[in-house]
Amino acid sequence: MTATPPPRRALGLVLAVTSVVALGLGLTACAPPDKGASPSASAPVDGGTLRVAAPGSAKDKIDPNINSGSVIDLLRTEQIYDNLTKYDSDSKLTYQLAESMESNAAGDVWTIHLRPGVTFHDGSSFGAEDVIATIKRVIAPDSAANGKSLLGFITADGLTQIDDLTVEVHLDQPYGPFPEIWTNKYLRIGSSDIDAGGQPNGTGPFVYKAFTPGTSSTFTKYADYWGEKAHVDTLDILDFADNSAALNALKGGQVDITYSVPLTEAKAVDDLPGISILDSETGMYLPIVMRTDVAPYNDPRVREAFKLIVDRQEMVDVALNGYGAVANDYVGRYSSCGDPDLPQREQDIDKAKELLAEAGQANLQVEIAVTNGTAGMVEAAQVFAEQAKKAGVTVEVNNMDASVYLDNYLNWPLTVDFYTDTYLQLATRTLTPGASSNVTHWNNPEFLSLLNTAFETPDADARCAIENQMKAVEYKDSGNIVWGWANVVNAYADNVHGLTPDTTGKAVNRLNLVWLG
Amino acid sequence: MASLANTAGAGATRTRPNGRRRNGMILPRVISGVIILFVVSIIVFFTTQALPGDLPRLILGVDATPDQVDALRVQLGLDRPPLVQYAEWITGVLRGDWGTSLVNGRPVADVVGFRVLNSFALIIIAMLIAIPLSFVLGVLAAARRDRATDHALFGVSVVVNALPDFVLGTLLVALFGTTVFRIFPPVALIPVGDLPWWHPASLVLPVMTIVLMATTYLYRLVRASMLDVLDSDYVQTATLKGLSRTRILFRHALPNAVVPAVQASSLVFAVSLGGLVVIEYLFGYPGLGTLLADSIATHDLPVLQAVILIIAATFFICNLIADVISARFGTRTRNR
Repeated sequence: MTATPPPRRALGLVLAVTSVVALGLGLTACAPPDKGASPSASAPVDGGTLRVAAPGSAKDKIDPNINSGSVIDLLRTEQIYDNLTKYDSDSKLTYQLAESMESNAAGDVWTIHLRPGVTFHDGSSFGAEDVIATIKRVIAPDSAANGKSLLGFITADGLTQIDDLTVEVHLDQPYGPFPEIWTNKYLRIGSSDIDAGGQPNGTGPFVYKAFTPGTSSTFTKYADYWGEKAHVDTLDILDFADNSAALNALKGGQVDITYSVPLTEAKAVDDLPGISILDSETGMYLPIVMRTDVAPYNDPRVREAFKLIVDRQEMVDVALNGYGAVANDYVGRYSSCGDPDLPQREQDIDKAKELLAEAGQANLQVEIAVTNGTAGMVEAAQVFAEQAKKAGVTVEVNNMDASVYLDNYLNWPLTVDFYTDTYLQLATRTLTPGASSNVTHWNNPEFLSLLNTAFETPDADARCAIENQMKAVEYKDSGNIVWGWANVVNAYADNVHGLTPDTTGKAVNRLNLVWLG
Repeated sequence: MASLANTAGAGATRTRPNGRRRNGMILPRVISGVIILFVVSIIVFFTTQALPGDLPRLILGVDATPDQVDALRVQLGLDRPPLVQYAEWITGVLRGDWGTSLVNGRPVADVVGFRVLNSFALIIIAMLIAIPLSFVLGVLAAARRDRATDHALFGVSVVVNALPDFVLGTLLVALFGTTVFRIFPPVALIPVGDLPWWHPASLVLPVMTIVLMATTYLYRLVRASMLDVLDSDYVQTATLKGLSRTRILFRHALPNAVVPAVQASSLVFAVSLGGLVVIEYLFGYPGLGTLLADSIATHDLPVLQAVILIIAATFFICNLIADVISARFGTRTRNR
């Protein structure tokens, strides 16, 4: 009996805790957002440790040429390594390890002039033999490098070292967009002894210190970097299997930048005190892809009908939660060539029904295969299925595990995919027969002959005219419904400065520009 | 005093026959355990074979050519018949070689080792809190049966147990880590090479989640066994003899309520280990749970096998310990 008071106190405690929780949640919900001062334009401060969260797994690799191209792989390799050329935040080509590249009049011999005075992290100097070794490594017959298909136009015999800083590349056929190809994520330059073992050794702004796949990695500032030297002393790139855990870590002050912000949460994250989002308009698109070599999509009328079914603004508003812009059925958003003169395709259900009836495909029933590859993919399929109902087309959304999806990657008759790249690279990778990502199986002779002409044209202006003709062919006939351009949304704590929106979608990759203060 | 001495003496004499039975009991159990683990390894292997998805394609991504995918398949030895692959794996394991991860080429022991330590540390710390707490709350609830304390504890436990673990964890994170108070780190980042208890603050929220889940379940078992004992004749007798309530509770009732509670505790331990996937995901904790999910997603068979065998072995060992403890205390219950 004497023990009565403590239990009462326990009950009281439970009640007290419950009310504090309720009160706390209530206050938080009502409180106005208390944003810190906007990032100042004052001079960068050096020092500190920058911690970046990104989605990763045990598959992570830190090889400049042989990796799966996942966000975190590319984030890490971009800190250690440089490319010969690179797109800046406005998608303009800049020279990195190369100072310039020029071709002969025919466009089949290219000379690469390398930047002098560049050193690797181990102190050795960078030169022509490293570039040649990297190219040979990628194009070797037994190479597992994903860039291999990009460099199909180069043979090992065609590579000549003129001097320490000059490489001459002889091609079997002219290749006009030669400088652009070296921006590719799989074509970062390692040292010539990369396969001799030893730790990753690059020329980039950060030096490798430690790496555990699926967990974390640590880098330090490279004091002798040839470009803009890093401001922070140490960089930690941390793997998160789960986006909400990454966001929680940002909220709790355990990381400074998080790569993945679900588009549905972006607004709420931006409203949090002490946290801002970095909203970058990019050239990423999540096309609805039709296989042009199987029924019913081998009928151009069905393809056109499907393109007319789509209400593009609704797709952007719902699937991308408004973080994007309407597109017009051709790929390659940021082009130095400007936009081609094509009318914006709008939803036209009557015309779509008419075309489907003409093709003998009224009341069509189809399945769309989709996986959660990037924010908005699954939603795009769902919104499309709703819109298709109006035209009498039944679209069943088949959302599956990534491994199942990839297993049949090139075989889905109707699917959603996602890409970011520049025009000629996208054209080569996704719109030519036999290409690694030609999910549409499109094989249009007019398009291919224009593409060949583009490759044979070293003059950029002349190439632009061809590029816009190619886009017109795509607009009319391709199996891609390019309904919108998606933004990439990252989030960062207010003590992080130096991040700027980036049309390449890689805002968070330029970590040498970031400072803490 | 006399009755206490009798009880203690009786207990001492009973340990000897129990001891013999225990030795006779353990060996066959261990043998059957090893056989079970072997069967588990076969099931895991062939289930993984049936998983949809192609490992080389998963590793290389969509930009690789079919030739490159096939070359990697040969390099990883995945083009050989499944039986050959299994035989090679099991002979390696019997030699103490757990193989290398298929997706990143690192030795399985390196991949799994520190995560085993992290996960066990998490669970053991949680259990060191949850089990004594359950006993205290269970005894308290039994002593205050049908009073406000009992009802309040029951109410809280029903609510907590009804919540899925990720909901509970998310609430705790919002409450103590991000939204309401910012007392504890919402994510348990344990750097590679550090031991988990070097970062006590990081452990608070995951430990709290497991403790809440385990305690709200376990304390009810303790309460139920206590009530069974308290309703028994000999407790009635003790009460009539005029022994104090505290003595009855702690000297007479509690030891007899231990057996079912210990059995449940070991089960809760094993289940918590199996259920770590959700907790570790939620808190970004580098342990076996996240590795399990990861290795299934990437079809990394050698790692998956190692993780599942560790979890299965833990289940088996927990059960064995529970049985041994039950056998040690069990005769009291039978003699009652």
